[in-house]
Amino acid sequence: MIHIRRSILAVFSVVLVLALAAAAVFLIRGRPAGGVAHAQMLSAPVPPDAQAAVQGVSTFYTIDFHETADQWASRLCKVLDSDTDCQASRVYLAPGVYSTAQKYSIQTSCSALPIRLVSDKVQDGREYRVWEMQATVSKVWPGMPSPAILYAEVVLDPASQKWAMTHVLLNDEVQTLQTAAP
Amino acid sequence: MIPKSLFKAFVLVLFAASVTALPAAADGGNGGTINLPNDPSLVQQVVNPNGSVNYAGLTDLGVVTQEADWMPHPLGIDIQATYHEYATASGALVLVPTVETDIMGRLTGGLLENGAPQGYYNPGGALTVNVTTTQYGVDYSQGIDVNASVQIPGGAWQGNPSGGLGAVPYSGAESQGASGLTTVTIPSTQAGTEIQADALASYNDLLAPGVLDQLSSGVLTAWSLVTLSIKDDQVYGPSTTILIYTDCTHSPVGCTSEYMAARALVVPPPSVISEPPSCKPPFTTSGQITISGGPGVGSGGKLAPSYPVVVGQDPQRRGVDVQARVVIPPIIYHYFEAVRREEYLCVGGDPSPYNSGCPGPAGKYSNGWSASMAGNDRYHVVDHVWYDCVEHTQVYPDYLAEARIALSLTEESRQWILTSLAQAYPGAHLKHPELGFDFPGPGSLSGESVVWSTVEHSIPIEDPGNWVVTVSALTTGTAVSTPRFATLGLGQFLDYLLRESLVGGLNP
Repeated sequence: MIHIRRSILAVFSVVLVLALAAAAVFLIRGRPAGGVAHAQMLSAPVPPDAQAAVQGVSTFYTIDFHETADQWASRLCKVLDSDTDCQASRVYLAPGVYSTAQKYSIQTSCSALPIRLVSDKVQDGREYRVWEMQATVSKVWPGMPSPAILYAEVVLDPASQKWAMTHVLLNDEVQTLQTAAP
Repeated sequence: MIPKSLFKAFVLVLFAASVTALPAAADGGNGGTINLPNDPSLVQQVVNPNGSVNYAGLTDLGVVTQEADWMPHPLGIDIQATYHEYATASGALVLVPTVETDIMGRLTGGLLENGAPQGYYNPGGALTVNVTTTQYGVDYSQGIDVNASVQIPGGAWQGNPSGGLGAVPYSGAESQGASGLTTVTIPSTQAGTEIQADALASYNDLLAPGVLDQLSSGVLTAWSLVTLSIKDDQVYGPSTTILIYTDCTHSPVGCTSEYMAARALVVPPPSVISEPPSCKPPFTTSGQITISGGPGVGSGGKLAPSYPVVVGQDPQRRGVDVQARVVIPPIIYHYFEAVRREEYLCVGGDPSPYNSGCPGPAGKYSNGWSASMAGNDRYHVVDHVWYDCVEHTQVYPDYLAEARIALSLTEESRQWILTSLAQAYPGAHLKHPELGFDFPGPGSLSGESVVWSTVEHSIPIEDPGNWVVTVSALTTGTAVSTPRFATLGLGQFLDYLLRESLVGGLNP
């Protein structure tokens, strides 16, 4: 009896795991546009657009106050999609990252996990997606909790068919996104 | 980038949209009045006639940042508003925001209902000043009169009431509010007017009223504005918004130490200046002219002989010696000069960014000083200037022009000769009862006075009796005074008549 019970439990466990995995894959990949009702981290292989977001966010929040603004921007630019976004990051964001790092003596690494795809749109012939991410920094500072929920925009290069991050969404954009989302 | 022709068309649309968008804002915000700069010289210190920034006339104070929560930022990262800071030759503060700061200040930072960039004036709060500053609705190509006050009934510019085309030599837009802020927006100066127009159009594109709606709806994003502004910078060079503050306390960055130091070099400490007083008119003073003669008072100036007799009875015809002396004091000319006095005071009060304290040494100040006053924003230096009327004098010798010694037989002696003497000596009569002697000046200088002295020897007195001696003096006058005249009787002397009778006398 005991063996029979153990066998039944083992089969039930396998079925349950498979069912959950299938449901997760369906939820994550089956309804990309317009936001998803469930917030759940990926447990399946991360899709390339989410991978680009992970790489971008991780690089963005890898900050060392010993670095110059330009050094931080140069690292980030390697994972960005275009020279324009690189230049914008260098001009607009890097001074702020530098001053924030100096202010709080930030020396941190970051690991990021995609939570859900919240936006998918085509603009000027290019496909843009926004991923909601969970970022965990090794050192927190005022204004930056850990883990933190943030958003990253990625774009598909039609020529190479590769995804890359454009930028981490700014607070105004997040607000607009949350207002517009169903 | 947008093709040029499309761009221009777009600008026209924006222009129309903007002027129609203004009325509600203007009416609701400030009654529809835009006050343009009333001090063109201030703008001209900053902007060249060709529209470029007059960097040569400005002191570069470097880049200054402002904590600005209205600057869009990623989570956990503070993006600061950034300005290049300058000081004008007259000590005004000039801020040139980066194009991103300018755009975000106007749009995401809270573009107020009347179009004013909230971030520049009152970050995070409501705009309280009566001001509209905006490029919208301004026809840059025509310029605007910096002295004009433009009404916008219905939101449309009424044009240029006093200037018209080319009223100002540069093609820019400007406005000034009650806060003391002057905003000048000029297009790129990278190339000629055509590319300037394009750059300006692009700039307006970023700042158009519709952009705000597009931002709200997500059609545009703050990030896209950043990338657009960077592209425009690369293509056209920076379009420049210049913020000119006469009072740094109104600026978004406040009064930086760099600015205050630069200002201190060109703006002298506040002065308290008293008006020069009306000093008294000049005047003259002098002592009395003194006349004397002879050995003593009442001697009639006679020196010798002790008992003079009429010359007719004196075989030696000795006569009388008479002395006269005149002392003429100088003329003293008094005049007044308003003399400027100056002292530095260390004055205390409430803390103020304009108070830079009172630097030592202590001896610099007339009202006391302690080390705690240095670098203390409760204290400032006051340059106290006042005037004193200081009296000056000038001495002018007044020389003798002419002197006269006059001898006159007294009336009693005359009657005595004509009566008593004539009875004793029939035929007795008056021979020369009046004698006078004139002398020229100028006298000699003794100290500051002029002295004249003479002895008239052997005056042949023919009439016996008492003689009155009078000395008169007339001065030449000076450059500051008229001639003076003085006369004085020196008294009398008796000129005797010898008689042959041994009994009694026969003198008056």
